[in-house]
Order: sequence, then C-alpha cells, then structure tokens
Amino acid sequence: MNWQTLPQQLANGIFQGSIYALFALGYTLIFGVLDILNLAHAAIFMMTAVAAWYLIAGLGINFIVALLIASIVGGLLGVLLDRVAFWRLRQQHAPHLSALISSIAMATIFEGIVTLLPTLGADPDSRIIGADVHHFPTGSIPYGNLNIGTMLSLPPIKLLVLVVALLLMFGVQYMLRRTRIGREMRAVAESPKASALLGINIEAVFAKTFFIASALGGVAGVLYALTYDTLTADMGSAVELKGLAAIILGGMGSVVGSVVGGFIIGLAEVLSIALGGSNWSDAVAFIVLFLMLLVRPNGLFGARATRTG
Amino acid sequence: MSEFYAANSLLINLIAINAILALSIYITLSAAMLSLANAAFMGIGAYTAILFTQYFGWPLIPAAFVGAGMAALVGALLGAPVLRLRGIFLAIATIGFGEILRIFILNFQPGITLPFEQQDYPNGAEGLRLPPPATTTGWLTYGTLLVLVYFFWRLRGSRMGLALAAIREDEAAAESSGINVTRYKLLVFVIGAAIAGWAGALDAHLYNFISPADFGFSEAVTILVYAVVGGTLGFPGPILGAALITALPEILRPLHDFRDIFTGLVLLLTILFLPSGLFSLLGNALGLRRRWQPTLVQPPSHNEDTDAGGQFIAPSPPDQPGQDKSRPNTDDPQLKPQTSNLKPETPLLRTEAANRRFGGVVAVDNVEMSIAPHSVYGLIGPNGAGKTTLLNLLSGVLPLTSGHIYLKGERIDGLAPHNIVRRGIARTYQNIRLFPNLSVLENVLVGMHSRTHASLLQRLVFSPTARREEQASRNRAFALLTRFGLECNASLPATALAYGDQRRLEMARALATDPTLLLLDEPAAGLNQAESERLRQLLRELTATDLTVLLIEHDMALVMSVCDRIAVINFGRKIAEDVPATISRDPLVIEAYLGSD
Repeated sequence: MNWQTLPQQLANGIFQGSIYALFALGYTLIFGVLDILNLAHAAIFMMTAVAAWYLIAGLGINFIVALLIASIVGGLLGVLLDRVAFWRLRQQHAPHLSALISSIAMATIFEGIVTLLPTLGADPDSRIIGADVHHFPTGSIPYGNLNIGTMLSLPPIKLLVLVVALLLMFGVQYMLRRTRIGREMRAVAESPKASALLGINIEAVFAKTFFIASALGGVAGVLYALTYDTLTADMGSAVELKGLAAIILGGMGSVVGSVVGGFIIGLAEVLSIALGGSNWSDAVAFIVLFLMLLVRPNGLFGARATRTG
Repeated sequence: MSEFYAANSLLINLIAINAILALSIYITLSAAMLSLANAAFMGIGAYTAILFTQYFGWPLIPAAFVGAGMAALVGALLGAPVLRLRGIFLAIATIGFGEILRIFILNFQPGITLPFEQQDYPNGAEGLRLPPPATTTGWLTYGTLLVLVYFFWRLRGSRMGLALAAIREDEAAAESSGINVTRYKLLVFVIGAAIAGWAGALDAHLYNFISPADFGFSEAVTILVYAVVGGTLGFPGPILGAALITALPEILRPLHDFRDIFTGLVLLLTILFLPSGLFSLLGNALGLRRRWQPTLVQPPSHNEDTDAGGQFIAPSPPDQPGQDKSRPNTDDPQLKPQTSNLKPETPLLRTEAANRRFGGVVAVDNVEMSIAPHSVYGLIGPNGAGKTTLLNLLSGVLPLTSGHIYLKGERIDGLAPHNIVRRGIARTYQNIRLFPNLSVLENVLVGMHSRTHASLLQRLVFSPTARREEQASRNRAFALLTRFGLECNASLPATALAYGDQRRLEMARALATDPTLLLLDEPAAGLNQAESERLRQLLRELTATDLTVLLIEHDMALVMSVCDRIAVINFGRKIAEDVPATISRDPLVIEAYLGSD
C-alpha cells in the first residue's frame, strides 16, 4: 500500500466509522432496553434523510437547522414505529421472532411510502425512490476541502459529521449515567417487570428510548446523505448490515461497544480498500462479525447475551 | 389448461419454487432455529448446478442433486460452529454468512469459461445467462413439492418429528429426556440447506439468468416472510404463504406503486393479529385445526390396546395404594430389573472428589457420594447449599471442575446429558420443565426417545417394524400415564394440567427414559397435603421395584419416611451421611438447618 495516503485513509475510516457508530448507537439502545432487533432502524435512517432533503432543497432551510428538525422527525417516526409494530406484541408477550418480522414489515412499508412521495424541482416524473439519486441544491451545503499539508484533505462537512457524531455519543453516555431517564432506561433494560413494580412507567421509557434511538439513527442518515451528497430510497441498506456488524462487534446492548464497533468497521473497510482488496472490502465487516460471534458472541464490551429476567 | 400454463408458466413454477424455499426455512424453524442463510444456500445450489449443466453438460436433475449436495455440505460446515448460537445471534451469524457468500460469488474468478456466449464463471455482478429454453418444468417443480409434502407429512408424528417439537419447546428438557439436541439441530439445518440448494438449481434453470443480487439479504428475508405469513405450526402454512405472496404482486397489479406498502401491511397485520399465520385462519374455517396443530400422536383407541395387552398395566386404583407394594409390576418393561446383575455391595453411583466452581464460588466442594442399588438416597441441606448443582453435575447439565462420577463402575462425567440418560440416569427439575404445548402423552413419548429406534426413512416407507415400535411406545406411555393417574388428560396440552399433575407428568416423562437411577429435585415443592401424600405413595411404589432414587427435598417428613440413607450438604460440602434416624439427631445437621446459638 501507498504509505503517503495512509493519513488520508485513516481520516476517511474515522469519518465513515462515525456514521456507522451513530447508526449503531440507536440500534443498540433499542436492543438493550427492549430486546428487539429493529430492522426498521435503517428505514428511519433513510426517512429522516429524506425529511432533511425536503427542508433543505424544498424550503431552503439552513442545513444545520434542517438537521435539528429532521432529527425530531426521526424520533417521532421511531415512536410511531414502536406504537404500530411492537406495542401489541409486547402486550401479547409474543416471541422475539415476531418483533423482528414486524420491524421488517415496517421497513417495507416505510420504503413503500417514500416511493410515493412527490419530488421537488424540475423533473416531476422522478420520484425519490428507485434508481433516482437526489442531490442537495448547489451552495446549500459547504462542500470543499480543507488541506493540511499535502497528505491530508479534510472536507469541512466531514469534520462537522465527526463533531456532531462525537457530541451525540458523549451526550448519550451522559444521559444514561447521569440523568433520570437514563437510569430508568438502564433499569428497564435490566428487568422491565421489576422496573414496573418499582413504579417506573415502562411504556413511557420504551417510547423515550425509541425517540432517542431513532433520532440518532435519523441524524446518522442526514449526515450520510450530506457527506456523499446523495439521497436514494435504498440508502438504508448501505448501513443496515454494517451497523449490525458494529453492534455485534461491540456487544449487543453496549453503548460504548457500538461506538467502538462502528469505528472499527469503518476503519477496517477503508483500510482493506487501501490494502488492495477493494472488491472484498464489503466482506471484511461480515468476516469480522462472523468470527466475533463464534469466538465471543457477547462482543468486546457486552456483558450479557440476552435479558435474563 | 395447457394454454393457461404456457401463458403463466413462470409464475406457476415460481410459486412451487418459493413454496419449496419456504419449507426449507420451516424445517429449521420447527426446531426453533431462525436461520437466514437459506438464500445463500439457494445461491450455492444455483451456481453449482449451472456449472454442471453448462460446463459439464449434465442434465438438470443430476446437476440439481449436486447443487443440493454442495449446499448441504456447506450447511454442515457452517452449522457445526454456528448452531451453538441461539435466537437472534444465530440469525445474525447466518446473515453475516449470507453476505460473505454473496461477496465471494461477486469476486470469485476460477478461470472457467462457459460455452454459452463465452461467459466467465461465475461472472461477478453481471450474472450468468443460460441458453434457452428453460429446462425447469412444472413436472419438476411440483414433483419436488409433492415429495416434500410427503416428507413433512411423514415427519409429523415420527420419532424425529417429536424430537424436533421437544427441542422447539425446551432445549434443555429435550436434552435431559435423551434427545441429542446438537445432532438434530445440525441435521435439520443441513436438510434445510439441501432443500434450499435444490430450489436454487430449479430457480436458475427456470429464469435462465442468475446474479449474486438474487441471493442477498432481502431474498433471505422474503423466504422468512413466506413461512411466517403462512404460519409455522404445520407444513401447509409455509406453502400457502409462499403461494399467496408470490401471486400477490400479480393479483395486485392494478395497485401499481402501492404494492410494497400492501405487502408490508399484509406482513404486519399477520404478525400482529394472526401470529399463527394465515393457515391457522383457513384451518379454523375448514375445521382442520386439530389435525395440523402440534398434536403429533393420537392416543391409542381401546381396541388397539388388546394387541399389546401384555404391556398394558391396568390402572391401579388410587384408594388402594397399599396393594402395589405387594404386587411388583414385572409386566412393565419400565420397571424390569436393570441392576440385578450387580453385586449388592457395588454402588450404583459413585462420585469421586466432585468439584464445581463458579468463578470464585465453590458450589460443590469435594463431594464423595455412593448410592447403593435399589435404595432411596436423600440429599438435604439449606437453600443454596449446592444440592441442585450436584444434581446438574450428575445429569451432565454442568461439567465438573474436577473429580469423577461413576455409574455401575463406568465413568460418566464428561458425557453429554442425552448420553447419560441413555446410560440410565433420568431427572426432573426443581421448577418443572415440561414441553408446554405438547400433549401430556407426547411429553411421555419424548422421554422414550433414547429407547426407540425407528428412523425417519423407515417411516417414509411405512415400515411395519417402525409402526409396531410406535404402537408399543404409545401403549407404554399410556401405561405410565395410567400409573400416575394422568390417563384421562393424555391429549391435553401439558400447560393445561394442574400444578401437582405437572409434577407427576414430569416424573412420568423421566421414567419413560427407562432409568436405573432417578434424580428428583424437590418433587414435593408447592404440593398441597393431599398431593404430597400421593407423591409419597408413588415414591414407595417406585422404590418397591428395582429403581434407585436420589431425592432432593425439603419436606423432612417425606425424606425421613422414604429414604434409606440421607446425605446433608452445606456450603457445597457433604457434612453428614447416615440412616434417617441418626441424621435427624446429628448436631451438625441441626446447626446447618437451625443455626447455632
């Protein structure tokens, strides 16, 4: 490999990893608190990016404001998802498989809805979905490069991604450790039954968890779209399985683990391209995931395999 | 008809192929394994079969066999390490495998060129085109489906089918009822892989085009959806689900853009409001429900009993329990002497410095124990003393940290629980572990697994030997149920029984494994006075035969009245062992139970 490009590759890996980490963070919160593998998380990732695109391209709102508004939209979509897809299953004490399936169903419905949304601008026939790739209007996002020496060029938008991602990760960690809702979430993760007996409104905790997790996933989606200046209906599939790999690597339900896992997957992917195996780079994440499951199914930071009580 | 077929042959064949795929995931689901690798196995079958039909010029059917075989082989290699994982982790590992395989096919360049259009094999993302016409025919697709329907129909109610149902209900209980859970899971996984591989071969030669994208995550999910929407309580469900979902886009053509949403809604509404799938709805409407539900074995009708009258024990009237002691049931194969060739002084079971640590906690500390044949050995001690851990060591549920266990002089430590059952040790659990959705009779039949032999193959060809064995098993199971006073409830699901009856059913299931040593973990816990008395009666009856019993119990009156010897455990150590009269006066025992002043 060309050592000249190494700093650049590492930087790219960290940028890529910060998006995976943010996405995985939401994934793992829902798994940790509700014991659900929520495959609709990627659909919310995409829907939130679409919402931001409407705000920026349609209403001409500043992209930072749009990011904030879109994250709330993402969070609300998460609450909606929980109400529609999981609430009834909880009441019936349905098996795990049911929640997985209903999240798949919701992902299909979300993607179906996006195909029906009207487009903006000149081409009335093109919809958001399908082969169409949508871009942000020129000038709305500060694309460009910040060159450091000759070896490293850092686009400001990517730096923004990294900063936002890190802030949110520390924010979540602070929330879980230091705030009331964080303590409630950890209690419910440990045992919903005991938490309910102790007077915690577990349905409210579930709703808040879905809001926070989906807002995080949504922000990841907006940042992903901004970074690559692309918006497609299937953009969720680009991160869905990578995010899964990240949370397995870090340990299902572990917040720190999902972030570390996300960065490892991002770096591994970029470095494997740099090492010459660009065709195989997609496989790296899954080989890591696969080996991890066989050697240490609890991941790097996971303490428990599944909820015990 | 043939015109209709000609116009719609693609869809008609696709329905059958998707139904086959749905069955490939149904069989793993029926052992409670959620595997999402079946799309990958389909790909392996497809690419392998194409190599044989296009490069070697084989006809489709033998090539499809090679494809299915290849998928089965990969399934066995994958399954051996992966099937240790459970639930969602197994699902994720199989998703990971599927992605690795898809990327492998994308990048694999073995330097083979197929004659048709000089294509590289497997030709990466561009995929492979096959020369027309399509060689997959309706005879082949529906023929396969018929064979599979026959297979699943015969599987239901077979020894293997019952074992799978038991694994689905409770893996640990299945293992300690004598079922080799690991082997069955791998077998089922490999069968599923082979079926999916076969379907892949047919699919490739129906479309005459394949690419790696056809075998990705979304296909894996689609296969799961077929099975779940149709219902996984019986094999007709997945077939129905596949047919509906495959045909739906055609039926819904007027809906255009709403099709995805509609498919998603169908899936969502099914899982929310009809968790047993669409077939359960259809089944209800047609009154078929009973036939397809997991009642796998019909109880024997009374005229059948006369065939095997010698094995059938007349119910012992519960109000005359005293008679049983004077009349040993030598007719019952269950209770035939097993240990008579053993010299009385040879212990049936012996532990040698048995140790078990959990991290720093020593749960069982150098326990030396020796149980004489035909005796009742009591194990008492305060809660948390290590009694259940000791029982878990004896039954192989937990490995020893150090030390040895001998049964009839042979070492049994290190054996898997199902092998220990085979050697003659059966157990019950402190907090009853029945197979809740299996019938009472089926629960007992599962216990007979390690003593029966009929293979699925024999059942597929309606072998008379297998049928006789099934008949004999059912009669023995009924005899046991009768002995425990449960015969009237034989066809009820186990969960429908009252608590005390569940305790007795678990004992019946343990006895069905034909043990020489029965380990009972607090059988009287939670029983009321009358039930407790009935249990005492039962224990006396059992020990009047050649059965040896190890009894963990807190009901001191019960322990003192039935045990020949009693060992006292505290903090993992055996602090005393003697005949009941001496134990009840031992100061150490009194201290352990009541504390010292």
